[in-house]
Amino acid sequence: MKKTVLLTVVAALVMFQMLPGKASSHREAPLISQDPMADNTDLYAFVSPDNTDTVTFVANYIPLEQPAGGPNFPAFDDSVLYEIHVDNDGDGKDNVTYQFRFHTQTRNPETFLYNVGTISSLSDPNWNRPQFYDLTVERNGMPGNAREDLGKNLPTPPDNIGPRSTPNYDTLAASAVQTLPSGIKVFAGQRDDPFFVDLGSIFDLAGLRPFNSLHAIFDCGGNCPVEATGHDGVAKFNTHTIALQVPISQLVKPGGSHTIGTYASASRQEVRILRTDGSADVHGNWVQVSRLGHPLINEVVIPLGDKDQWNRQDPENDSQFAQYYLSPEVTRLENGLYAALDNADESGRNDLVAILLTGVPGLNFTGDKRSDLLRVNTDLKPGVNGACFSGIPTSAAPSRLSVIDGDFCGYPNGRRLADDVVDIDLRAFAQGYGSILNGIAPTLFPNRFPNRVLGDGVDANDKPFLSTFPYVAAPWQGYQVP
Amino acid sequence: MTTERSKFAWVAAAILIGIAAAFAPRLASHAAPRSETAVKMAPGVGMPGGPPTSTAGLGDRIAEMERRLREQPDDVGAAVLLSDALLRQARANVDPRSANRAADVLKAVLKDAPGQYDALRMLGAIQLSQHRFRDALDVGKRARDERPGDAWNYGVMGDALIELGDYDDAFKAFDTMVSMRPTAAAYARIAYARELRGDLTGALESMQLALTSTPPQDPEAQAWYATQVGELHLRMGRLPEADREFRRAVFAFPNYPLAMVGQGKVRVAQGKSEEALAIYLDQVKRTPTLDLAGRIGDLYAKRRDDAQAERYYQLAEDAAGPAQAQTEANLATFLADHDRKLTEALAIAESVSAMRHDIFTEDALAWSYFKTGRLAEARAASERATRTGTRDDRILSHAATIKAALGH
Repeated sequence: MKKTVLLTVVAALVMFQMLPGKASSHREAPLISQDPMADNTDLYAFVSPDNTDTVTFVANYIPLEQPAGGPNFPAFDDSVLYEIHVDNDGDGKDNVTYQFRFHTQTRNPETFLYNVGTISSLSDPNWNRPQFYDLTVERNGMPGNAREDLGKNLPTPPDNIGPRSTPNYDTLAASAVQTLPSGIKVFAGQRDDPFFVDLGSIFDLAGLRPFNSLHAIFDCGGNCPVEATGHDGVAKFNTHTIALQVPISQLVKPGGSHTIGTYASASRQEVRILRTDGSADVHGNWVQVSRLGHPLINEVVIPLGDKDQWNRQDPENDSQFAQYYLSPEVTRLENGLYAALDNADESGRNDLVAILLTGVPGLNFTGDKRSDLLRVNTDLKPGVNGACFSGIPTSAAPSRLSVIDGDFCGYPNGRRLADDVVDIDLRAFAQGYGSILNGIAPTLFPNRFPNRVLGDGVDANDKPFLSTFPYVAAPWQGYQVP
Repeated sequence: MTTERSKFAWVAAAILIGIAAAFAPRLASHAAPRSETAVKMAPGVGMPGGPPTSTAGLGDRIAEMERRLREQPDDVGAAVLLSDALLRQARANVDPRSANRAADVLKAVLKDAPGQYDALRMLGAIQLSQHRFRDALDVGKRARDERPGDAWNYGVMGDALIELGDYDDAFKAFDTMVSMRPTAAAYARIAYARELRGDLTGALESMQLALTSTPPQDPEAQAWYATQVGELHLRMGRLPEADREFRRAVFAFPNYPLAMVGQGKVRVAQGKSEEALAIYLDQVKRTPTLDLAGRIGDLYAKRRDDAQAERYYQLAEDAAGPAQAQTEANLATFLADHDRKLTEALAIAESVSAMRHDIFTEDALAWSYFKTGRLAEARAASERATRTGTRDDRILSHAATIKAALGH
């Protein structure tokens, strides 16, 4: 610190520059546009294992929340429109859209503190910043009203602060689960981030720890030994979850396909300098600033320069991005970094188009229309633990590798919380599809070796999931995890 | 080994283009730029996964990146992250000197890698902080041409244009920015544009949106936006609301200078000049700016304590620095407002107005002309100062006085 100060002073002395004295300058407005509260990090969709007439959607927002996040604890953004979209006829357009708008109350305007005592219920006056939300559905080509309020002023739980502020957290959070007259269950609030990945190794030139010896840079002076297990880079971080459980009958058209495509999004209102009149029309259109169907598309498939444009687009317009799927950069990198791999095709990747843009024929195909939607065949019913090997419900434990492993109730047929999408994607992009998919469609799904055993060594979440709605684990507590 | 290295150079570059931005929503900004050379980036201050923009978080980040740069002077990632943190520190401390350090660091890495986009776009922001508006505009345009999809560049260009007084183009840049990606940064700029046009209600709405859209791990930005919301309330005469927002800013970022001064302004408006003076005197020890010293001088002058008033007026002048080095017309306005060194005030206003034509510079020029008896020129400059429809009290009162003197 001392040296920093010294350097700053020296720099100021050497470079004679005047001090602008104006204290109220607007010109210094921050430019950083990082927008975590409108950042959709993951979407999960699966037939609910404990209620197979329903589909559960889990949409997560706000990445890498530190549990000890005070004094301003994270919350949904009152100015963002959060949505879960469902297409049930394969055209990439919404047929059912669930919209969430949040509003925060201030119970005691005399303090900015999150709470001024123990929060023992959702209506506890000690909780100074409770947040509520309204849930609305929009229907297009579906029976029922075009727009309907499903719930108003629904409660969210507080963040998990500590044993003094939020004791009995699980009970408190459970009381925020709402069952609506429509038969829909809904929950919105802080949860453990269910994603798991070895961020540290992937950032270090994709040096997958179990495969360090095969990496192009295998000699790091003893600092990159082979390790069987990776390090979960999102362990002990929280996120904000919107979970929604909907009867399948409300998601599919009468007599229509039983495979739905879904994506989640966050939108912000555009404002213009010129307002059309003095008071009304202060806000403009909603602009989608973040969307998520399949995991890792924004991160791995879409190049940086196109990310904002991609996030703005609706999935029905995704053909424009098809070349990134057909000739994926990740595959070139895998081929280049790991000489030991059987080189995967760097162009003409119709396998990826099927998995990511149209659905896999015989599993969850929705037609030729290319759109990044997470597709769930709702006819495939899981057993009580969520698995359906060979499509047959079983009480066996689900496979983290899902369809690759013959468990058809997981990714890319929807996505369960425990699905290891990083390993699945590493193998898919390297065309190491395993014997089951290869047996079904040998040309479309090659089974290259050792590509089919790739992985980051992080195979599960750092917290067990719940067996009932909202399934996502309770958030880490700030007091325990500073 | 050499051939091995070069063989893998493209891999290193490519992977940082493609995969290392992987998990971008978790670790890097959406606006995180693609770079032509390998850049070891990390989440910026205030971003998910990065240190918070608190005093400690900024200090830690600056120390860490200074260390990285000492070890590896051409570390572009460290230079960009250091600049980012220094820029925040400059604003949080109302002390632009840290911006100079940032400019040096960026220029050094740009010399070796002139096409380095991350460094280029950051340089634009730093130059704004240094009041090098034409340079910032050039850099902003270059970066925009390179990456037309990056809304940041429209922010840099718009900020530069607005300071230069080229309002039509500035407003276009801001509207482009917000339509590309509505964010807190864009909302704040829309708010300022509305304020310049005299639309305080619309400005308040938009600045409030900027505040709401800012995450808790960025307390510095929260404090800045809350302060701006407070200033707008204050200008609309809503003192309790203004005071609350200034207190909110200080809650987010303890002792945030602009908000501390704001609390003093509320006290002045409430007629509690003793309390205001106490706040100002405490704050001026930390941030001796022209604005703050001038306000203290005014309070003493009101109490007819001419010696103390003069002492702080002198401090205000000293804080502004030598007349010939001014990049904005504050000092001219201050001198003219206080009937001090009127010839010098006019010289400053004229020299600054050769560089820029924003309404505050035009107002300084108008008022300096008026005070030196050049009424016709005062009138012309005053018309330019009111051309956006601003409802700035000082500009409007100067304009009214000039008009009255001309017998209109």
